Amino acid sequence: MVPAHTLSWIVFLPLGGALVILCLAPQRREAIKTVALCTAALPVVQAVLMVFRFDPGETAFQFVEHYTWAPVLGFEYFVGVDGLSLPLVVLATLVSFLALLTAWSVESGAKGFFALALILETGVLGVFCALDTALLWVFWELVLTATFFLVSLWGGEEGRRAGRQFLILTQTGALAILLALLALRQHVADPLDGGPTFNLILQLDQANHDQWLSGTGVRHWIFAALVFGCGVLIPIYPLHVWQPRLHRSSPVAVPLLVAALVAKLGFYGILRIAWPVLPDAAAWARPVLMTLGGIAAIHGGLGALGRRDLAVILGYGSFSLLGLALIGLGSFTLSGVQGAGLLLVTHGLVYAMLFAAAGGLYDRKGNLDLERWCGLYKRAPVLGALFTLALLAAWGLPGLAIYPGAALTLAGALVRHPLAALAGAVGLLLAAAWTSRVILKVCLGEPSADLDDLPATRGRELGALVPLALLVLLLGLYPRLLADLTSTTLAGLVRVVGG
Amino acid sequence: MTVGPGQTLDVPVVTFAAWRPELVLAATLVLGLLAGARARRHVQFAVVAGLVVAAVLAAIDQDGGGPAGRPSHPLGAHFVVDGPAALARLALTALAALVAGVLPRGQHRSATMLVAATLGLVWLTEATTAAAVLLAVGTAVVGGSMSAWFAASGGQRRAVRRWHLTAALGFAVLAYGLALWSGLAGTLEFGEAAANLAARPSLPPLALPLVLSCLGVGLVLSLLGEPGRFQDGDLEVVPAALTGWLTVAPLVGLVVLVHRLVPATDSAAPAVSDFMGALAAVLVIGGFLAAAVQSRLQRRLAWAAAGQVGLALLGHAAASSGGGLAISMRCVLTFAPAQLGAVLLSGAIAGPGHVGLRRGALPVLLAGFLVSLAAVPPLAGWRPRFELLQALVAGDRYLLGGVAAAGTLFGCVVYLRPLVGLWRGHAEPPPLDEAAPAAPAGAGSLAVTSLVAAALFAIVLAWGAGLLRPGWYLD
Repeated sequence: MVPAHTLSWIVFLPLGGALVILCLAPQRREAIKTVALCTAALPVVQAVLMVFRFDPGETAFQFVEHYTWAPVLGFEYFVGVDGLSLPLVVLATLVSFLALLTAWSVESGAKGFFALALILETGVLGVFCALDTALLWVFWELVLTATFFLVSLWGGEEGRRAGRQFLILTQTGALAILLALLALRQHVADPLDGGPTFNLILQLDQANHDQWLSGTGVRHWIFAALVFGCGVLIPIYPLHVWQPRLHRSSPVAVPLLVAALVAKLGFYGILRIAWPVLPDAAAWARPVLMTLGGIAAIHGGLGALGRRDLAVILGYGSFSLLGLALIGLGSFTLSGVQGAGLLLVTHGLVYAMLFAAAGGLYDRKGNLDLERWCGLYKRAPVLGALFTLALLAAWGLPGLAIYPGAALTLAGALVRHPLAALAGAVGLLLAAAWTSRVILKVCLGEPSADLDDLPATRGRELGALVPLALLVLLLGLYPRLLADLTSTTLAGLVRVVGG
Repeated sequence: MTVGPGQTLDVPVVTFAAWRPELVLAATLVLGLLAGARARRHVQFAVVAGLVVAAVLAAIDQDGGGPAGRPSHPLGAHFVVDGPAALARLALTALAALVAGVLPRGQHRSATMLVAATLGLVWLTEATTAAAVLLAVGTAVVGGSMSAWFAASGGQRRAVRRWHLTAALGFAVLAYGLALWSGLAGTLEFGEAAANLAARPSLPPLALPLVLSCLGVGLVLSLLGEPGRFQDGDLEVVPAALTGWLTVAPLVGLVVLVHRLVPATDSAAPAVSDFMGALAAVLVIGGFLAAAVQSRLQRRLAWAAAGQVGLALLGHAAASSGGGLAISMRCVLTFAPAQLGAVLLSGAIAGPGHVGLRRGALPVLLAGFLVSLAAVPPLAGWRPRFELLQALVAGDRYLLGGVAAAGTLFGCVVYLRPLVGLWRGHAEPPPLDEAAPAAPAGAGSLAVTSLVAAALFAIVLAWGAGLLRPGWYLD
């Protein structure tokens, strides 16, 4: 049974867990980790229960909660989910739980780490559920701040620089988004009282837009500000500069959360606000988005091929795959957008699995240098097999989770922009190349002498990797499970932008 | 006033009820001055008690009699208590009570002069004439200077002297500015000035910018002086609480005074608005940039306070004088507890004798204050910043919106980076079964500081979550 205020419970349980952790003594590391894991596990259960209660054929938002919060500022506590946000909510709860499991080995500053990770989860979930744009921005800021501290405090000297870069870029983006949201609010009238509103559902109705907002130039500027702010997080080329440094410097749980969840916020922002509120501006920016997606697909693939650090390679691989999703998004075709929607979720699962496995490697030897790893199969066969499965999925192998989304995306893009489709295909070929390289280097071959004492796969590693592997297989073999949830909402979005 | 059956006497009557906080402050000041020669602990206690009583009375008289205020003042028509003044009075007396409460023992002279400074700033928020402004600023400057002077030990007063000079220079510039303004408007009273200025066919070309520059520079220099002034190298010259108060309290007075001055120059509204915008932009960019290069947290906070003044002034430039005032007041009011808390705790955590307090609740509170100052949700600072940006966008002041956005970005860097420095390394906590170390020297004062910080944090949290709303009657 799903309790009342389901979404609020899901969003704020992790925050409650963070507050409990802050009250615990730092020496009680086991208690801290247990509290973190429990408060991250409960939202997973609730989110899965919510899926069964969700009506995929319904176009309206479901599980809605709507209260007055700060009337002077025009804020409302307004949350709900539809076919676009529900899979992302499930993904966020699941990935956060698994990230905390992966971070079990974090001992130094465990209290702060787990509290911040839970705050980050609340922020991500809040963004996915918010239907008031100001509320969405508040959660957005929460995510950025928590991520900044996670990167800066647990990332060594390099992490400090990465954190500074992340802070400046993402806060600039967040301010651009805020100014855009304020401009939107000012020029969208609530039909009931004629006053300005942050209510997203009212903003979606073009009839509520005033004359100023109907001006083409204005809409383009607002759209550009929104895409800039969201693009920093995706990240889109050339705003990705913070990403490699972050992946190189942070404990693996941080890149896991960033790649699997934080990056999704950028896409979600575009799909939830920029696209449907300003569809004509989206049509205007379509070629730019597809071009940037194509560049990211190729640049990410090449970047992954040329690196030695496994975390950086995975970061570039993630960047490349999200470029492909951007191509699908920019195609404005039903198959392209549905492919992008599938990719958002499956990318999160596959890269969570990859980073979790990489975390296992790091725990064993304290490095992720490709040249120093060899013969994982022989020393830790289960971990090696699961890692290979995730790499094959990242490659886009049929039967695994990425394939359906990638194939649909390419099909959709080919209709509108063959060159972008070609760039996406090249990105997939490069993915095949870098994943093969990693498999050959890390998993196969004879293990070197310093890997003789490599511990076997641990229970908590299996706890993190096996559910993900099952989902990767399930969504690869039966993608309708996910597509059925998202299709109605995404079809509505495509109709709005005239695709 | 009823004098008999069916008879009323229609004359203004001085009712002391509305002026109780000032009367209590004045009585406390006199008491402190009389007892000043003797270093007795109970004198300091009495001063703190007087400030607490004044704060309670100010809280009771919260709306200040509405927008019109109460014109009948014991000192004549030079002062008025209206809504903003009543709010500022509460903030100033409450802050002073908190600061005097955490001053180390033996600082009764410093606490007494703090009362004088508070009285001066309260007058500043109530001033309706140029003469009253001079009296108020003079009292505040002398009170603040002497408070810092008494708090500093003999060998470390060089930094205080430097600030005295800056404040004196600012006071002189302000005096000249007020004289020029009175000449231009033909009156000392702000109320008449607007009408007089409107009656003039035209103003000399550079007159208004010159006057406004004098007023702005004079006020900023005399009330804020050189930010980060009370550190001599790595040495903390005066207690952190006093430094915190000196970076916070003048802003409250400044913002309310600006609110009173702006309508007085109503006929030149666009020029004034442009001037305010330019001054605010300089303060925002300059203050935060200067703060970013400071390595000591207290100096960083002090310089960043100048940036916060700029953001508060942007509120005036953003909207009509009423709405602008509400935003500015809320900027300052949410800034005040966070800044005071951050300065207090930076002294407690990094100050001599307290090395090793990185663990525990204090750093968490410090983080909360800094996050609030950086205007990151969900703590108090983000709400007025949001309102400010909203007002700027609504008024199509996109350039100033850009300045506010840049200030917010710089603020994030300025306030959040020290936290990384504070927590990096994750000092290992001692095992739980290890015997607790003996209480360090000054543990009592640290406990008081912690309590005050917790109270301030509760305010910051409640404002951030929307449970309380400061100055509701200004909307």
